[in-house]
Amino acid sequence: MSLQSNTAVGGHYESALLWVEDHLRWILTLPALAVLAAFFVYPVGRALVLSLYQFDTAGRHFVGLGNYVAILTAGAFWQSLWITAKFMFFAVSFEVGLGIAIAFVLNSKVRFRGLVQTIGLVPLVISPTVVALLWQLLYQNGGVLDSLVAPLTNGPVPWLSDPSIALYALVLPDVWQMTPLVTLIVLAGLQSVPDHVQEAAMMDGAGRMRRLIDVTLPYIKELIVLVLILRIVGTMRVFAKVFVLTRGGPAKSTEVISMAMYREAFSYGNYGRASTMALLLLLIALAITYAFATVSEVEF
Amino acid sequence: MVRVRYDDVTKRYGNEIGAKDIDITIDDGEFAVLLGPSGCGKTTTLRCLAGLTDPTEGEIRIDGTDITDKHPKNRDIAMVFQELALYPHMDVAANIGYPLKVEGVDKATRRERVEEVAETLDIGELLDRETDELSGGQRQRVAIGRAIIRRPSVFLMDEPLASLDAKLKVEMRNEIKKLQRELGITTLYVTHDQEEAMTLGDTLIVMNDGTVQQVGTPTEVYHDPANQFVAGFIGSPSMNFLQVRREAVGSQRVVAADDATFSFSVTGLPTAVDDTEPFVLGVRPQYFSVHQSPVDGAAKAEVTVTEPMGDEQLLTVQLAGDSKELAVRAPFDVAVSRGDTIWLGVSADSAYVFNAETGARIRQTEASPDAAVPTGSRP
Repeated sequence: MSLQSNTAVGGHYESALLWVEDHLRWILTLPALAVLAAFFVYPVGRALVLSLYQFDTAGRHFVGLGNYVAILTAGAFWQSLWITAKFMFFAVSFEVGLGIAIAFVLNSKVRFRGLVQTIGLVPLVISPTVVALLWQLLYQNGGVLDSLVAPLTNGPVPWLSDPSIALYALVLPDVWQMTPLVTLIVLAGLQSVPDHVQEAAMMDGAGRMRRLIDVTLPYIKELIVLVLILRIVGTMRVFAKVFVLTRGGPAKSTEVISMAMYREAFSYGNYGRASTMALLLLLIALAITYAFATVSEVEF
Repeated sequence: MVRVRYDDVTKRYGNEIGAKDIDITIDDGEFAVLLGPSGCGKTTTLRCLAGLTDPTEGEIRIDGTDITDKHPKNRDIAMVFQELALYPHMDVAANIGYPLKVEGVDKATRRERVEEVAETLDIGELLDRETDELSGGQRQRVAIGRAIIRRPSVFLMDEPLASLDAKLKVEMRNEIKKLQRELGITTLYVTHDQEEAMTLGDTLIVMNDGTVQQVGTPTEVYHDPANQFVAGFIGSPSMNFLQVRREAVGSQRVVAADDATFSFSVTGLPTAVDDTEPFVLGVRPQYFSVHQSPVDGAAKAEVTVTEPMGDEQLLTVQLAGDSKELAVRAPFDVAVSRGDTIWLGVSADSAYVFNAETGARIRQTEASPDAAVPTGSRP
C-alpha cells in the first residue's frame, strides 16, 4: 500500500470520527426518538387518520370531522365522561389524601419502616387485571367483604350489580393498588427536606403546623402536583379493572371512556369513532396537565 | 444580663459519648468559641443549648432558669447553621423576616425591621432576590440577618464560615466580630479552625473526645496550655513534641528518651520532672534558636525542607540520629538550604513539659531566676 493511500484511509477514518463527534447528540438520542415515534407519534398520527373515517360492513369511507360532531353531540360520550370524572375524583382524592397521610406517618421515625415500604410495593407490581381478579373474589356473593360488613347489613351486598354502588366498588381496588405509589413518591419528597432547614425553622420559632406549611409543603409541592397529574391521567384511562369486574355495567353505570372506546372498536368495529374518542381523551389529559402545572406554578 | 451555664452536661448516643461533663459558663455579652477537631463534641454541646439535642444528663441554665427541657422555639436563642439553612422557596426579605412572621409581627413593621437589618449587613439591595441567586458571602449575611432580626438573648453559630473561601472568611470574621460587639449578644460559636477561634473569641473552650480540655482567653490557651492536646492543637505549625528524659539525675540536659541520640540543654526544667522517667518536651517552631555552627547545649540537626515565607522561613529538620521531623521557624537571613547542618537551642521559658502518659502539663513549681535562654539567640 502506498504512502498516499495510507494517508487517505487515515483521513477517512478521522473525518468519520469528526462526523460522529459532531452528531453525537443525535446518535445518542436516536434510539429514544425512534421508540417515541413508534409508540407515540405513529399511533397518534394513525388515530388522527382513522378518526376521519367511518367504518361499516361496506368498508371505510371518509367523513371528515363527522365522527367528532357525532360524538360531541351524542349524550353517550358525555355520560361516559361524567362517569370517568366521578371515578377519577373519588379514586384520586383517596389515593392522594391517603398516600400523603401514610407518607407523613412513615417519615416520622416509624419502626419497621423498610418492611412497611416493601409490603406497600406489592400491589404496585401486580398487573391491574390480576388486581381486578383478586377483588372479584373479595366481592363475591358471601365473600370476604360481605362477611366483614355483615354486622352492618342485611345479607350480602350487591357490590358490583347495584348501579348506585358499582362505580365505588371499582374505586376501591384502584385506591388499594395505587395509594402506595403516592406514598412512595411523597415519602421521597419528605426525605429530601434537609434536617437543618427544619431545625432552622424551629429555631426561628415555628411550631409543627407552621413548619409543615412554610417548610415541608413548599419542598414537596412539585412532587404532589406530579403525583396528582400521574393519578388523574392514570384514572382517566382505567380499563382493566372495569373490564374484569363490571364490563361497564350494570346499566352502563360504570361505562368509563376507555370502556366505551373498547366497545366502539371491538364490538361495533367502528375504529373511526373509537380513535376519535381516544384523541378527545388525549386532549382532555393534556389540558388538565397544563392547567395543573400552570396553576401550581410548577415546571417539569 | 444573659448568662449561660452548662451544669455537668453529658450527651450519650447509645454507648457513644457525644459530650461529657460539660461544665462551663458564658458571661453576658461574651463571645465564646467552642474549638476542637471534628468529632470532639463541640457541635453536640452547641445543639444542647439550642434545644435541638437533648442532654442525657445535666442542666443548662440561662440567667439561672433551667431551660434543659424547653422547646427550641421557647428559648429565645437564634442560630446560624453550617449549611446556612436558608428557606429556598422564600426570597431574601422573607428569609430574614421569617422569625418575625412566626412571631406575628405585622407586615409593615416586618419590612421596616428587615430593611434595618439588611442595611446593617450591607445587603439592602438584595432583599427581593431569590436565595439561589446569591453568592456564598451574601447567603452568609442573609443567614446572620435572619438570626439577629429577633434580637435573641443568645446567638449560636455552628461553623458558619466553613464554606467560604479564605479571603471572604477573613472579611466575614471581622464583620461577625464587629456585629457581636455592637449588639452585645451573648454568643457561642463553634469552629475547628483555630485561627478563626483565636481572632473571634473572648474565651476559647477547647474540646477533645467529648470533654472540655481548657477554658481561657486566646492568649492563655496559646501561651499557657493545660495539656499536650491543647498545646498541639493551638498554633500553626503545631508545637513540636519530643519524647525525652534527663541525661542524668538532676541534669539540665535532656536526651532522646529511648536511645539518647540527641541532647539539649534546657536550664530550669520543672523540678516536678522525674529524674529518670521519660517526659514530653513541647517547643513551638518559633522558639528554637537556630545556629549555623556548633553551640554548647544545642542539638545537631539536618535541614530537609525550607519554605521561605517572606520575613521568615519555615524549616523542616531532622535531629541527628533521630527520624522525627521538627518544624522550625527561622529568620529569613539565616542562610540554610536542604541538606545543611544546623544546631537547635531550646530555652526552658519557651518550652513546655508534659507527662508522657497522661499528656498533663508539668509546670514549674518554684521560680527559677536563671530559667531564661542558656544557648544561642532567640529567633
